[in-house]
Amino acid sequence: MSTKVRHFLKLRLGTAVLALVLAASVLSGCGGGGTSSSATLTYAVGTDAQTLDPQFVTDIPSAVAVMQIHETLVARDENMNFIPGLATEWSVAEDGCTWTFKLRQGVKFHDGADFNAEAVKYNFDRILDPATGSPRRSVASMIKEVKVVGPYEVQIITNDPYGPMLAQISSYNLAIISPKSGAELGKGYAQKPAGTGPFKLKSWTPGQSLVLERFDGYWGDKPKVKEIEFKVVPEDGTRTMLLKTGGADVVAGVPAFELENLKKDPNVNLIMKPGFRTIYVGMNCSKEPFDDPRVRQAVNYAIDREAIVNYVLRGAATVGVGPESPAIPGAAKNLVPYTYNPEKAKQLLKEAGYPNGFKTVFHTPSGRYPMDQQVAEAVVGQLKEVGIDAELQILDWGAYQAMLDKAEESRLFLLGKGSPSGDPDMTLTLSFGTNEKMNSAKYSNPEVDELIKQQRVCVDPVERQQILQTIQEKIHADAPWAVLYYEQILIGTRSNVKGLQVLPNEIVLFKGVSVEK
Amino acid sequence: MKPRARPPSFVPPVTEAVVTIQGGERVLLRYIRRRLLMTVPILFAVSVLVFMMVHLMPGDPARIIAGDSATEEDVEMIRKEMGLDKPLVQQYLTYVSNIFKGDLGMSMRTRRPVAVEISSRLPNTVRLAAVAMVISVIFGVAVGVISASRPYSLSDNLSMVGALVGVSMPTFYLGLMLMLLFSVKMGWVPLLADGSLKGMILPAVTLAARPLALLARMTRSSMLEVLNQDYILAARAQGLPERVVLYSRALKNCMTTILTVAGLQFGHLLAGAVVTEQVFAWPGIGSLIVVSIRARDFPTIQACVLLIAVSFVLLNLLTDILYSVVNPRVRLG
Repeated sequence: MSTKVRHFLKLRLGTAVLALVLAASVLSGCGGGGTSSSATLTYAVGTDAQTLDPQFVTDIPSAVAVMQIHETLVARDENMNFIPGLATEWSVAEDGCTWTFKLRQGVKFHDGADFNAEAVKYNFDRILDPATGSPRRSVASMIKEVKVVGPYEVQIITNDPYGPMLAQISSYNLAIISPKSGAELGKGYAQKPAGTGPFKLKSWTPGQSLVLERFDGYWGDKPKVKEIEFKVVPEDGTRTMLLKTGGADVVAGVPAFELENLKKDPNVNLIMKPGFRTIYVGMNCSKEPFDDPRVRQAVNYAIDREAIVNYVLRGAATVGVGPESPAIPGAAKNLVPYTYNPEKAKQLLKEAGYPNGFKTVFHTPSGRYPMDQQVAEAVVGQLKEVGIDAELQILDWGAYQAMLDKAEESRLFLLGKGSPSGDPDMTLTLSFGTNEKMNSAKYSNPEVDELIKQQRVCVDPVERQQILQTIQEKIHADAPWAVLYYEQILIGTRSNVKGLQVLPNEIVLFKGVSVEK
Repeated sequence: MKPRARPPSFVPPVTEAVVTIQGGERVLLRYIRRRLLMTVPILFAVSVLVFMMVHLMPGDPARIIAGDSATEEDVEMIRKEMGLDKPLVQQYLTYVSNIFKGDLGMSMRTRRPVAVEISSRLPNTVRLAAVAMVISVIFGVAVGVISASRPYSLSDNLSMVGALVGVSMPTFYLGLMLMLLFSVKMGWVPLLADGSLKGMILPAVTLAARPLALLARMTRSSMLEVLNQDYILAARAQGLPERVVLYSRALKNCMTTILTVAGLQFGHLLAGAVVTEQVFAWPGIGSLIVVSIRARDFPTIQACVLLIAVSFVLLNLLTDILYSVVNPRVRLG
């Protein structure tokens, strides 16, 4: 026996040693030198930027990168108030069509070019030129002409009076690029940007990492960190672990189910802010039974939003009322919520002629919004309580959009509505205007259509706010949506990271960030 | 192969190789040429299938690229720029003729050439797959041989249960658990690959788990079969050390099985590292496929699938050629 054991051990050891030696030799041939610099702040993101050309940005990860490198004429603070950016002051003429912007002097682009009125004109001409092919040309399509009045003064003239002007001017799509680099590089600008921002591009390995470094010629306070690395880490769980181990200083998109776990960690600080995105259950108002407002209200009363926010989303959201998130300036105030009331829901269904409820379908994307499928499952369960038997259908995002375009089906669907400009104009138009492309609820109210037109041409902020309030009150009463909640932005940082600016439109600014030892 | 000292009376079947492979070189070359020519229709079929699949997939790439609140005008602009407004047949012809010009098209998502996107990521995938392959062949074969040498013993049972777990464990779970244990709790290795040797250990082990387990099981069963044959009995009767019997006599006759499994698994490693790459943020082809499918980035998806098809075809060819090297009874005809 003992010889057998010895023999076996010898055999196994021999094999193991051989295997280890071979594995080590192969591995060592593949290793590169790993370097880590403590002067670099690491920001872990789920998705890489797709372009660094502001006029081509259509997604948040690209916008965040773009807004470290570039600046807009009018900027926004953390409460979305308008503050001076590259323009120091602005005014609108009596006619409501002519906007005058006084520009900041002594500002340089990263490529050495001077920032002035010509540069501003170049940018607007570029986005408006169809040959540029900007996917967000519509952001500037209200503009008729940009006039250079003086070296540091421009006039932007619109076709009609345009209320949301400043919101559009402060959008990341209208961040100012250097005319020199823009003309030299054309489409190649997307890889070699030159803005006026506090950071300039150092290197970019698409899909892996994007490194920005401090721009020493910046006109304002110089950033405190030398470099920022945007590291692409697609998996939620991996990003969270990076935050816990200190492998990343700032982490975007912390998943809600990790909140409890992270709150206990003294080395981690969580930034939670109400965001712009509304998550809602839409109803096809053009088809039975949802063509009856009482049915739509019944759906609203049947949903226990508190339970969804507290148990499905672990508190990482705000219970929803109106279509626009309260974080958006221009959102309606004091709307009366449809508080959870299954009895009232049943009664409304009875009045509408559905005493025993009805059958329908409920579409949801999966993975598009945090916990979307789980939320949809909870809503389906709650609807069943009042007799609405909804069959859940889960689709991936591409297929989901194609489904939304088809209007024939009577259905419920879960969807999110963001707000890139932080102004209700565009989203109210697209979501509630009759026959608008993104009006997936097929909502139509001529009064609302008219009011939407009115607010757009109203350049007086107070008067315009009143119209916006009325629009949202009407939509709220008609209830084409059951608004569920407003998403919260969740950013995790190591607790020694200070001064990070998080805007409710999910833009993160690293300008004032410092890392304490 | 250099002749080895053997007991004169015993001629294991494997030595036939030395005899028949001479003069077969021309046959081999002709075989390789023919097989390579055969890949052309295969790749053509793949290109048609992939093109049809991505275009029949529900979802409009222009809408996805345009983002949440784009106007119809914006979407139309993108559609035109991407050439998506043209008829499908025309799109296909443009696509194929561009491939022959060596142009894989532009990524719709990033607006960079697909060739650049792929070539910056391919080395990462190959590197990871190669290391995982080496780990799984060495340890898989070793475990299989040890198990087969003592069938139904404690070590055999343990290894085979381990192999079963290895085959069945979902990759993302294994990856996250390894991270939790070795990076977060122990702090032995960095969480993400930082280009260093240490950073590669976790993703490589995660990726290797399944082929390793599979190879261990295959090696064991084919070894058990071979060990029952007469020539092994003869070798043992001649008093050859057991190690020589196992490795130099029995294992050689299992090589065809091992090669088949290993070859196919390597193909899977190249194509199927999707989950591992996702979990470890490994910038390879797998994670590129995931983002491209989400964005309906047709040119990139097409190019990636073609690439995988090519590598499968080439690996199969390589496996077949290696067959004839390890077992000359296999005729390349």
